Amino acid sequence: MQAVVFYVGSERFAIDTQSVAEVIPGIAARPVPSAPEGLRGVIEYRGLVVPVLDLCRLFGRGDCPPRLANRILICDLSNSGARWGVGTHDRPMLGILAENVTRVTTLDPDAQGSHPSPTKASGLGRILRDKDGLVQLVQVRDLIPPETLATVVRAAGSEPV
Amino acid sequence: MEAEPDRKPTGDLQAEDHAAHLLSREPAPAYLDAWSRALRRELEKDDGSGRFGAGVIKVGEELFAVPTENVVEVHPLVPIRTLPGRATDVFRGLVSLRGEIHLCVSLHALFGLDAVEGAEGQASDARRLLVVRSGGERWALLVDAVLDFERFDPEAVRTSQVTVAKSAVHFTNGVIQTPAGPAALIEPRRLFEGLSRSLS
Repeated sequence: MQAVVFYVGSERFAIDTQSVAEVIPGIAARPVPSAPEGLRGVIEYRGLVVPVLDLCRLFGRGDCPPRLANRILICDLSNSGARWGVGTHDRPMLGILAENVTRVTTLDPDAQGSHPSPTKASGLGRILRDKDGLVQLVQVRDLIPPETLATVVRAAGSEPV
Repeated sequence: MEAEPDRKPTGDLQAEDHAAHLLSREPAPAYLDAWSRALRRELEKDDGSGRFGAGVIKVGEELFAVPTENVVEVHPLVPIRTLPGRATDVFRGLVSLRGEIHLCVSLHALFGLDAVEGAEGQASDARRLLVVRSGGERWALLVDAVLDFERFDPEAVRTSQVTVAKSAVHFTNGVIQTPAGPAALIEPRRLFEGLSRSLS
């Protein structure tokens, strides 16, 4: 499988390209009051309100610094059954802000020597190996409960962005 | 870009370091603002309405539109190689673009329009070669400017030709409204027939 590789601190992670709709620059997100831990806020993306998760913050590494290589992966959660419940134009997307989003690699999820995630942190999948070293898969839909995101989107959507 | 595990530190690695250095810069606020604005807009979908794209060009002071499906490329002006005894007001000579020889024609004479010559420096800087194809033919059209590529509704093509120079009417298919003003929609087939006639 092809996966977008990125970093949180010095650790490498990857997201299956099939769930990534677009990679965009780390544009400013509008903060949402009483947002859950790790959520930067929401952005307006192609007519949709999209919550943006800061992976550095979520993984306890502080805010993701503003750099050209630190970008937002726009992920489509439609296939995971998530719904934001915001009317007819409901396409659940989640932005993932991460560090050094600069390359795509080919990974074999069933390769020998791959490990299940050693931690119970939600959203972290198997640890695989490519020629640059170890990389851990991230399951976007498990990073944060969809109901939590739906609440955020509905709250943000009810006021003018 | 991919680093081989056994690779020695060579020039390539330095290049990679330079790339990493460039990407670790803080983005300019204007860059992020421009992206925020661009991403806010919804993507234009093909809604089956048959909307078509067209490049808006300037010949003399008149605007014309060329359907995108006929446009091969827009090229900066290159030296035109004249053919002794064959050059006319319409047929200017040959140009070599990406190793291919194209017949280069000026639409001004064919349309009966005055060229915007070097007197206005700005206008002459904007001159381009527009390579257009139809059927198996390709021509390089010398135009005064290529303004933009837009999408148009076929319903919006009007038959009124009052704004178009008389001799250009034969080569056009109607008039569309562009942000720069009304433009005559060029029908490449007819244009090519006209060009072939002017050559023979």
